[in-house]
Amino acid sequence: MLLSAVVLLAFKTNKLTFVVPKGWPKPAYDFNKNPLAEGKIQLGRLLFYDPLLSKDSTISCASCHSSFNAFTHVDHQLSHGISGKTGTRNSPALMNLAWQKDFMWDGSVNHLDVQALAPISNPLEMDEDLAHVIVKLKASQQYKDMFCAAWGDSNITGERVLKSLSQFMLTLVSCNSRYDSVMRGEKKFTTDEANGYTLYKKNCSGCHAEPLFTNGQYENNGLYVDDSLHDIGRMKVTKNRTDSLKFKVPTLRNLKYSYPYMHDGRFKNMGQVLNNYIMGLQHTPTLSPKLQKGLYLTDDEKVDLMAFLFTLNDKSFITNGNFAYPKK
Amino acid sequence: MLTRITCFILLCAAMQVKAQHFAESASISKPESWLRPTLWLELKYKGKAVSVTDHKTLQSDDSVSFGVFRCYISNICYYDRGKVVSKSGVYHLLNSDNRTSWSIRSVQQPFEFDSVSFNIGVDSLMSVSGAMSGDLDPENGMYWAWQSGYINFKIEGKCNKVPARNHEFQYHVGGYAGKDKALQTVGFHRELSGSTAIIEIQLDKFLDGIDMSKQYSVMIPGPEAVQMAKRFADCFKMVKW
Repeated sequence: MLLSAVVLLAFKTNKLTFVVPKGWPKPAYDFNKNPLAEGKIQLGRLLFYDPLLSKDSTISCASCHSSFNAFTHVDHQLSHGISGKTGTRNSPALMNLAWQKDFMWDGSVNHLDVQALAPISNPLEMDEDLAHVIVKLKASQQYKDMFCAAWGDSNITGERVLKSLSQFMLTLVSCNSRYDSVMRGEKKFTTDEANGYTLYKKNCSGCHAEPLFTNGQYENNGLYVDDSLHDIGRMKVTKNRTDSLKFKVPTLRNLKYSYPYMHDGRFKNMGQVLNNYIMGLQHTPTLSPKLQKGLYLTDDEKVDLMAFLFTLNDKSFITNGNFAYPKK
Repeated sequence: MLTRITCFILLCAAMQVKAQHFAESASISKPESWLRPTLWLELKYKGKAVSVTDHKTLQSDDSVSFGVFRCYISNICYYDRGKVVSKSGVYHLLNSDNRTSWSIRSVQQPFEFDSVSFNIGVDSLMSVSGAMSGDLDPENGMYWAWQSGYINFKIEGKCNKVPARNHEFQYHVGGYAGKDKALQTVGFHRELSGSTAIIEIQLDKFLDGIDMSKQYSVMIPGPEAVQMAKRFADCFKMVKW
């Protein structure tokens, strides 16, 4: 069983090096500002799974970002947070975050280190505030000890909480799918998968570019506007009419684990997704130029494309014990 | 139309001649002028100090009371005859919860200067740089959670004119991108030779032009926030040096 090392242990120091998989682009995250260290990663992991971060200690990050579901909230169109309140968007799957320049479906968060502020403060999600989280952490001897071990002294600050969370999240790299094995020359695609790969390159790769399977841009992929949500997407952040109804292109990795799909989780399965591209596109002024001509696939082609997409599922990512709930 | 800072720089240039005269006629020692420059900020409402009585409420007069006041002061620059002689990269958070935050002393060795300028708020570079420490730490409640970026200043309180819940007004003014840029710069020239500049933040002047029955909540970047930022900058008055 070959698992590519994501994090290489430096022998002499506690410092770790973030290993970029072969052929992948340079990460967007500036590791110089927050160098990886084992203590900080474990602290971040503990925080990620701790419902203490929410107002009534019932909701943790993992409540909507579960490791078995590629760090999304499986089978929920819209996530529910504190007191069962329903949110306004589908929980994004967390993986390969070091390569992202901005976060959230509309890019309202511009740096990984401040992303956690959004769910922590959102009254529908965790309904807490960072200053109060710190008060709660300071009351715990375990956390004081962990902060001391990780950061050199037991001072618990907002910056340290956020940077520790970032460190754990940065380790969530998915690069061991069947597709990755094929790209590394270890395996070969079956005929169906190979046909599917060709179809993917022709129809999907413009936005869902290799190897991250997203170009990190904002696109309007022809979804009709949900009457109850009225979500204008990126335009809410940039206030630019040309960004109306545009959302961040999500990755195609781990689709098996991360349904339902789209910013509001409207599609239960990939069949519905493909049908939307083939026959359901709403032609609005900001529709992606790449979709203007629509998508044409025969039934056989649909099967082949799905076979290829299946090769992007990475079971090792889902079952990696280092990402799961920290056992004492 | 010239910006405030451009007018100010021109004024400094005009001061050159005057400053030279002053230096030539100066006596051998002027002890005060060799102390480290300090900015001493005071919160005032109608001439009275808005004092920090307890954590939550800053009392002023009958109709208005203030609950929270926080404001970033950054990029403090001292000039001598038009040239920058000291520039600070530190971001200071004036905080009604923290009495010591109101006095900002230069860390450099004493130097000659005739004017000072500073930003009210945090520049765009910091707003895209993630989580930082000290006064910039998001735990200070001055970093927006729902959309990344710093809040330049936060003023909250109560006024009987406000129709909202508990008659509360909340001004969280920020924004760094393009037209939403709410950062303001103010400058003062040094009239006398003291090293401590006493600057009043006149909150009554700030609230005077605001119709509190209509505009009692500004919580996002945008034209309203930009306008409010300009109004706020106009309330910084040098009273003594």
